[in-house]
Amino acid sequence: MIEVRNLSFSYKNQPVFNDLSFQLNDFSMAALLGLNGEGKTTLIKLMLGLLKPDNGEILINGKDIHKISENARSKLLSYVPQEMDSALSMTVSDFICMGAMNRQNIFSGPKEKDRRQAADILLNLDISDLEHSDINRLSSGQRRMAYLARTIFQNSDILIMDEPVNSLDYLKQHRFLSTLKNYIMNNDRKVIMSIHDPSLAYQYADTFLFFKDHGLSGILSRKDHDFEEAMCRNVSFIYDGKVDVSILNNQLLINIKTNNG
Amino acid sequence: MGDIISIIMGEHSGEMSENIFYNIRLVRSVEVMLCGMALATSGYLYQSTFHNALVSPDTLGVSGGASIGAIIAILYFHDNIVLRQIFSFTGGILAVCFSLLLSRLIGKNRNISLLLSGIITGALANSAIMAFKYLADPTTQLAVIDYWLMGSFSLANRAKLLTVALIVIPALIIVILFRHRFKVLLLNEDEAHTLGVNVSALNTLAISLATLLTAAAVSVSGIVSWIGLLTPHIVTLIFHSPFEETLLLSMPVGGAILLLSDTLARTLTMSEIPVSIITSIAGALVLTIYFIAERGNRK
Repeated sequence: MIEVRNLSFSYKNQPVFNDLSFQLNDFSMAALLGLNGEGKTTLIKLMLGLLKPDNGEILINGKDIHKISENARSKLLSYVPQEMDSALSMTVSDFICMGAMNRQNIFSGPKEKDRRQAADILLNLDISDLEHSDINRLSSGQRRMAYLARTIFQNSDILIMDEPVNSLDYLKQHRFLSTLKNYIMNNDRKVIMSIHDPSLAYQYADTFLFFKDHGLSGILSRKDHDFEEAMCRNVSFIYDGKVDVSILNNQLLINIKTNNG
Repeated sequence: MGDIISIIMGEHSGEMSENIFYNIRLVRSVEVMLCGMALATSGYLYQSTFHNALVSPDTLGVSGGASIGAIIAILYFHDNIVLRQIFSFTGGILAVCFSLLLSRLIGKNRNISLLLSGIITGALANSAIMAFKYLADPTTQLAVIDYWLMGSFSLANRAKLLTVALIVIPALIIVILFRHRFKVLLLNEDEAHTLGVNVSALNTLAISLATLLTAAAVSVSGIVSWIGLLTPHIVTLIFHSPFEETLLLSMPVGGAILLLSDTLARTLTMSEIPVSIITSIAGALVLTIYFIAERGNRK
């Protein structure tokens, strides 16, 4: 369970959130939707404890994440960042094993059993062939999968991802999201991710948070009354009403309004 | 060569050669190797911390600070050898502290602000060095300063070896112990935090160790260029090793390269030449080979 209470945050003189509060109970995949610059990445970094709020608190499973140690936090939350350092050079196996750093002795590296577990995860994700490749030679799709593997190895309760399907082609987006969904369903984990494409989010997520004008403009769950109608209304709102949104055959369709239409 | 073997075997081969071997050559060789190990390890730690393959041990101004310290000893303390070593060591550490404080003022991204403040510290140190050289007596002191700035092990002795060993050996042991943890320095800072690691503490530890190592080496030898930047590249070029192994291998490889350079500096001409002349040529050559090979790999 996630509870954000009276959260305020600003960069220097630029306010991002002012007194933001919401609760997420009983979700498995939550999508953060909104235009660029509305604070999705900021919220993600606040939740991960990478940024400190000016005011307010974020409770995850009852714990104030800004008051627990990095180590305790890393057992609750794992992170797939939006940008990946392209100069990073190490084997995929080494990279994945870093996910277990929070439970390794500080003077020892990955053990044989860690290597085997990493190999199993790669096998499950169907990317065993990458085990010994250098991470900086991977395509962006393969690299996201490597991140997913490391996150799985970290074994935290909640996976937080910033635009995980950004810059992937159509097939790879679906492959990534369905693999992710399979993993969280089978292992009782939760995901919070920011994502640009509302239609894609609609296909996989069960909870939706809409960000507009530096605040939360709506929060929806599939279980809500009149969910479909509210979904269309909220999506249209974050695009300033410049789009027509409808749901047909379980697909969310978005069309840009033409001037004379 | 025959003499060396018989000395090691304990046979008598004349007091003179025994004396030369134990008190001069052996002391000097061990000192050179320790300095090579220290500089190479320091270089790789800095390169990893800054995510920049072209960073060298003096990125944060260690060499500049150490030079100022040494020059002050040369100019104002009758070139007392012990004071020269103490001053240059302290100067190196102070310069890094200055860089760290300056980077706090600059703010922004930690690594970029550190690089910037290192460049600023280096510039300030350089200007001070030039001012001191201008003030120095050109017939006596200027030459001493210039030789110091080019690095040399010709003044190696047991006391120097002992002081350098007392700092370098413990620092290297800590580096070896933390080698797995230091790998996290390769990741960007946010990511490393979320893995449950105290990144700021590790960063500080890595920079402190790297600084101690370089300052200790520079304080006995003067400025020996290129070893710190170069050795990690040679190691990865030859061994294609992962982080932890590169860190370990940099130690013996750095020691060997500097020993070879010092031997060449000692024997190449009739009189001994400054070791940086050799290490700089080698540096330029190896970097060229490295980047050409790297380009070949990418194709």
